[in-house]
Amino acid sequence: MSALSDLRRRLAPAVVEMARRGETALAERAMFEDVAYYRDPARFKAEYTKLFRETPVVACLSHDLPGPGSYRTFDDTGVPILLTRGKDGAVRAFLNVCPHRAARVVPAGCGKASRFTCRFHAWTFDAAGRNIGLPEEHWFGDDVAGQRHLLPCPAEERHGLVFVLATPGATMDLDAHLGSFGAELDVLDLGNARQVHGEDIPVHANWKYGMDTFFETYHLNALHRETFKGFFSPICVFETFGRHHRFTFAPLSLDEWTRTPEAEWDIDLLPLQYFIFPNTIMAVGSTSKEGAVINIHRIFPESADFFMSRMAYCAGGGIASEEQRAEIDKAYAVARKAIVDDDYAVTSEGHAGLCQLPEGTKLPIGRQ
Amino acid sequence: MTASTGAMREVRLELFRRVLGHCRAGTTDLAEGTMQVDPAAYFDPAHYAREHQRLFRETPLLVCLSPDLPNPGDYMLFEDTGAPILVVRGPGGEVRAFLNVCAHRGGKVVREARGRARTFTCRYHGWTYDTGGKVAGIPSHEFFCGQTGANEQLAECPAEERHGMVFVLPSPGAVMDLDAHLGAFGEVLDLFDFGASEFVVEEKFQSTSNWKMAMDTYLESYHLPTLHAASFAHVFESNLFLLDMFGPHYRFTFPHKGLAKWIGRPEAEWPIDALPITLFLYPNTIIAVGSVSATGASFSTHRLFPTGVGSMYANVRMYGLGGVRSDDHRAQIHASFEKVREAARDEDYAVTGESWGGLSHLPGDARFLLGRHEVGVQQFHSNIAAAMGEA
Repeated sequence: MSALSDLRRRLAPAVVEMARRGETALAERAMFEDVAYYRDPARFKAEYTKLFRETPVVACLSHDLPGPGSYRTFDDTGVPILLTRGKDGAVRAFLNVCPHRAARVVPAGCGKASRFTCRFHAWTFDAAGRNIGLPEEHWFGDDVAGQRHLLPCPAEERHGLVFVLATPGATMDLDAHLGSFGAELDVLDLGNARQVHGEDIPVHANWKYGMDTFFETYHLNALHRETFKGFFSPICVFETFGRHHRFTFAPLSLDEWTRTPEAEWDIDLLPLQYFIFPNTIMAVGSTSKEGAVINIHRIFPESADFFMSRMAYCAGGGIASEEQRAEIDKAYAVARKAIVDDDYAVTSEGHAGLCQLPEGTKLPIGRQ
Repeated sequence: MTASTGAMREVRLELFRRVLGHCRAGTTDLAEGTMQVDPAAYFDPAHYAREHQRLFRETPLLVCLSPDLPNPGDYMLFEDTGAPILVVRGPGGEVRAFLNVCAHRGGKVVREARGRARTFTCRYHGWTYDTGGKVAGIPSHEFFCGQTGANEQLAECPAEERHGMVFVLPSPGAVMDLDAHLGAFGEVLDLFDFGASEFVVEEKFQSTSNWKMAMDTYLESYHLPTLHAASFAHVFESNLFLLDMFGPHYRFTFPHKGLAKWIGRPEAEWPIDALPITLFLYPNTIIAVGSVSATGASFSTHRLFPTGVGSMYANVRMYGLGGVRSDDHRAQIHASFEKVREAARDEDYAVTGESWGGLSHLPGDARFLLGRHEVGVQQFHSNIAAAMGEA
């Protein structure tokens, strides 16, 4: 938590300085996005393979696989995947498909298990995907040697997150993917985070249209007028790390900060937002004496015009008291309203609208 | 139903002898070796398109049993292959099949799934056809200037009634060689006298799976102790499987548990009529004949139809064999249908439905391995490959 405060202390002066000068972080120029970018099914298909099958994605928090012998299924990329934590503590991922006749081995869910038995013909596997039971093995002869185990997918646990590459047999280079962003993620201490609330939100819109809302502060005052009951300066300080980014934007108290010395700022009110390419947003809310809250959104498309948003509202260091729970419940209610009632409502309306625009229409994206 | 006699008794006795032989030796009928299956056969759309054409348009299919169309004028729509077909029994008792497409402008002529009629009127412009598919009335006929000659007949598909069953080849204008298709299996079908049965109940089971993945589950008993642990596992032997092949069709048996106690006892005492016998009528139909009890006998037909590479349904009908003899018999048929229904819905079609989506994610060189005891599944895939000219 102190690393988080240190980071905020480092970033806050730039935000306040911009406010004093009436500036914000800007792109070099405005950009235009063709409506096909959001609605073309062929484009979606290519994009889906590249971004959700050939790019590491966050499958869950470390804590979602709490100890040796825990498992959970992960179907969000369209590939049925089984995640396990072995006796050695290592997280592994497998195609959740029986190598015998391709039945789904583990039903959707999570829990503790040391072995997984396919309900079709009872082929049984351990947490390392090794076959430990093959009824009537003698009728398969030696031919079964090469195809008795579950097929592994690359999986790795880093910075309190479990990353998976949803392509069996491929290799994952997580260092290359995260680059210097890994060190930035460590600030969040996600290994100690615990999910407190959560919701899966189905949205009828293109997933990128949904993501875009998390990337700008331009909409805060209009769209969230009722929700946050205050005025946000549209200021944002943006830092990129390869394809990932982190930005901070104006706290509701910014106006006051511009008039007071740095030492008096309540630094833990500074909002931070992390983006792990291609689909994960981690919004770090105000940190009170009770600790930080981190709202993790993972967006998984199913088609060009539908995605599922998995929202996990986490307490930075877990829940220590009833007061903290009450405070987190209150903050969650506001965050949920902003995301579900404001952001995703406008997203699905907007997507329906842009589907009606003529071919070739280009939507403007300002420098801010 | 009285005890089996004549040829049926001989068949059942011989099956019982083989069952006891296997019980004694701890063996089962086996394939010569294992077999590999390319998973693409279950998810490749191009493969599916070829297969659908070959197996569901160019192969005779069972539409219904003769008693489902008992009287002249009785008709039934057969739309399961995607081609809209009207099957109707004519005034002379003959069964014919027509493309249910009006010869005028393509309207769907008959819209009720089944019924009885002397004529059929297209609701679009009122063209009317008799049970021979011939035009019987054209409103405002004079405006066609005497040129309707080539448009006065519904296109006809080959249809034939044999062994108490109605077969159709869903290709208008084609020729069906049912003798070549059934071969010696016709005699097997004749033993059961399906023509004397009575329909009781039916249901359609949908599954998000390839139809062959569902078909496979019918053709082996390896999954009985696991998938059917809660339903049939305590009733039937697993891995004691008798298979007799008649061309691409099979007769197979997986016996009840506990038959070993009959070893060494006189044949006359054997409960041969309790032995369930299943027929596989290639390419898509299972006929499962249950145990014959004092109350009566029953059987179910399971006809599987793909609606896409990853979607299918099974039409399951249950009949009283030799008719429904009493209220008790009817109640017994409903009770056994309920068991079939639960196993199909919660077990067989559930496992194929939840699994099919995973197949396409296997690496390109992955192959399924069928054990020697999965001989029925092996033969099914070999026969399809042969029909498609791939073997």
